[in-house]
Amino acid sequence: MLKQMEGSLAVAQAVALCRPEVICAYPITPQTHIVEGLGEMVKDGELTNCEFINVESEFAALSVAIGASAAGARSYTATASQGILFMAEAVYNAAGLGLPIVMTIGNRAIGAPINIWNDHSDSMALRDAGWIQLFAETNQEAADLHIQAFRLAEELSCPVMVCVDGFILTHAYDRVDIPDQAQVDAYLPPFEPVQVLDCKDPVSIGAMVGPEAFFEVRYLQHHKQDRALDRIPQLAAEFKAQFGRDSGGLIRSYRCDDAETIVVALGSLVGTVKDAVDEARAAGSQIGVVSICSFRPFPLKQVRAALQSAKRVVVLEKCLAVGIGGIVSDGVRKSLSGIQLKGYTVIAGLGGRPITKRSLLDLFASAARDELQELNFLDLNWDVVHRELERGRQQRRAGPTAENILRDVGVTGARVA
Amino acid sequence: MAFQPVKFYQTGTFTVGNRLLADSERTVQANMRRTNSLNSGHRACQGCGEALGARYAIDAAMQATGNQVMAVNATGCLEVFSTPYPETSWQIPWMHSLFGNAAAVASGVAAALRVKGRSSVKVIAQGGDGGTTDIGFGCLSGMFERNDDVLYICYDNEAYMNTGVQRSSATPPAARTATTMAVGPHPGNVFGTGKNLPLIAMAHHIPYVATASVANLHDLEVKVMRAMGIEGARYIHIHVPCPLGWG
Amino acid sequence: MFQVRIHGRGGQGVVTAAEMLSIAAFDEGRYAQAFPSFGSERMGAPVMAFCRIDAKEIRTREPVMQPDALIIQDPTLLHQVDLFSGLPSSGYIIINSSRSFDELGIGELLGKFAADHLCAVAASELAMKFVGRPLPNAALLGGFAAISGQLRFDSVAKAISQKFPGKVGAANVAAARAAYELALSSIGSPVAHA
Repeated sequence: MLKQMEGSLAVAQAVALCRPEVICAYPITPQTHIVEGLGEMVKDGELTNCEFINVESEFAALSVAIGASAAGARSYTATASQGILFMAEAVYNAAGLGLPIVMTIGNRAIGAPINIWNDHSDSMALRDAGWIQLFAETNQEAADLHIQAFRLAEELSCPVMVCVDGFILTHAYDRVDIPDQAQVDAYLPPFEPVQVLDCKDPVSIGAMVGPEAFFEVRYLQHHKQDRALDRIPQLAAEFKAQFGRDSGGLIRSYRCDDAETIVVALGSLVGTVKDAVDEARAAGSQIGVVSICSFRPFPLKQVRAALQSAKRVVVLEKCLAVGIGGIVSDGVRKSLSGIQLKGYTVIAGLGGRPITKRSLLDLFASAARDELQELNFLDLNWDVVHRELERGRQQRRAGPTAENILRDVGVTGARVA
Repeated sequence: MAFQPVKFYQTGTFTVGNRLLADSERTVQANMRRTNSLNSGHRACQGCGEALGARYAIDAAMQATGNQVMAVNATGCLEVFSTPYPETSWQIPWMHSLFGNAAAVASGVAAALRVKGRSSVKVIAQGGDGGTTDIGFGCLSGMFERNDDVLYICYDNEAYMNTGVQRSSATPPAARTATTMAVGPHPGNVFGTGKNLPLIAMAHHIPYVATASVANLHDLEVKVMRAMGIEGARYIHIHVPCPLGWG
Repeated sequence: MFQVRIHGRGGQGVVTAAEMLSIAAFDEGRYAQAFPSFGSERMGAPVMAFCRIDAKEIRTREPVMQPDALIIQDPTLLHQVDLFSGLPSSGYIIINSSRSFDELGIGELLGKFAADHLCAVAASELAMKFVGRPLPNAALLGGFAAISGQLRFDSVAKAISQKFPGKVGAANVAAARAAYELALSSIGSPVAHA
């Protein structure tokens, strides 16, 4: 049924339709509305057969999910930013144990400096933990991916995180088609665990594994993600057959067929890029965009196939590997191994800095003229940067950087963007 | 059964459990058909008090619940020596996640059992003093506060033994550990520090808190069995010697 | 695509206003997107919310840089925040004030706009009268519907009732209707709907 609603609540409704059995919640902006929505549904009886537990930290949240999943219950939690770092140990633990937990990440920048706005640094910080990572482009996809996520997680016995841009998607009101229970039940069967704590058939889960076997256990995790590369598009196809729309999959190409320049991006940013691509095309530019939905496993073959005929690739990332540059770019570069084309990394939108169509159009034009650096920073205020560097040169005790810059930049409430 | 005020032991609790009491008053351990939940073959040190305590406690719990017990273990000696890959000495469903989250994982297991309508199966979380009073403290307090249906057992050997005898907040004053060496003007662990976990547990107003020692088998078993008959968050603090760390 | 930018201060229901606009557009079978732009999370700080309305799927997620209409919920922002940034001369402006544009000090600035695209509504006063609280957002939406012709008043009323059920909703609808009628009369004639 079509509804106009907040992204978080669309996610909550989608999760509720998946018949979760244990939900644990610790509040952190910007995912809070999701777990509040689910909590309300459990409390007023709309969501039955579900334990909703208010925990005392994110570490506890994922730990409760770990215990519940090991005991055979379909388990869910949500977090962001500082929260996923606080539960980092448990994130690795869940993947290593092979527990099919689904977790929403309301993508938010990681401090310091503390920042509540959107970028992808939180999901990226845990990209190698062994979880499958799916990025939603719209609120519709955010809802749909959770349904696919439970199916994928339980099939492979591998946890899945669904990444939804904080504020931009979570707090946006959009038109979303919420499926009905029968549709979801037909797509998502009850959870049948590969391993479970059961008094009738006791097992020990989580033993210490030494050099004689650790390698094989870890390799098998990697192998699961290989299998996911096949399953993800298959499950997306099944989803389309059941629900009637395209959602998920590994990557999507938009106007790339004869593109000389191809932009690569993840998440809600792709929507703005598509509008910019249309405008650039109308002005004669041969440009397209590839959106990556499955970031882990990274679809090397599919990205290669999509990009190999372009003259240049511009990877637009909402994350920065401090000390080296792009993160998504690394995967893209790897997928293009052996192919000669120009590659540019553009870091944008960190800490919620708006990414405007105007800036994108200027960027595309520079790219087309090959006037970009290898590593670029979109709409970074270089004057502010240089002033702070100068402050540091002038005196040893220059003070905290963030506070200096805030004083320099002035009252931001006065400006639109 | 009533406590036995025994003046002193000459031959140990096993003898006391067997020879000095009538059949009906013997301990669970004295029974040939005890579940032996922590089976032999584990890699604990000679004379490990924690191995003893775990076997005593879990067997008593199994007796009390008709063998319906699952255990969640924190990282530590017990977890390491009881599950040397590819073997396990546990005869019950058992799980180890991380060092600091045993209480939270146990809460999750209990929630799953509840939602599946299997709340007659009981969950025990266990950890050493380090995993309970220090790194696991937050999760433990959360479990207490929510009154989750979990019995948490702390095996207190007064230091982080598995990693080489470092001081924990359960280490007594003046004790020598690798991080509170017996040197300098204030040798050993500092006076005026440390946490009283049983008191803290009581401050959470949970339904049952007890302290016990492996030196008193009957008492320990009674307390565990009593705890298994109560619903909600329960805590038992068991004092266990560590021959290596205390030697 | 029709883009609305709403300015106000934290606590004045700016975000809710954008959401209600999007619900009203949805009820008319159109696509709509509403989202906030937060400053610090505190009461009283300048905040903005955006609403885009279109006949087809809306893909872009940038802030509304070139609004077709501005709704200004708090006139104290007028000389503090660059409210009119990006608004073309064909744009619409609805301001919450019982004073005239000249009295607000922006008479000259607004000279380049069509008179029937502008409207000052005493929305806080209307809200006090009908709802008993100086929350001007619903009333201003009534003014917006009248001036812009983008949404039918009924759609706005329905969206308000959805957001605020019961008596509070009805009172807000009444305030919105009063604002709607006042705005209509101020421009002289009803505007054809999009």
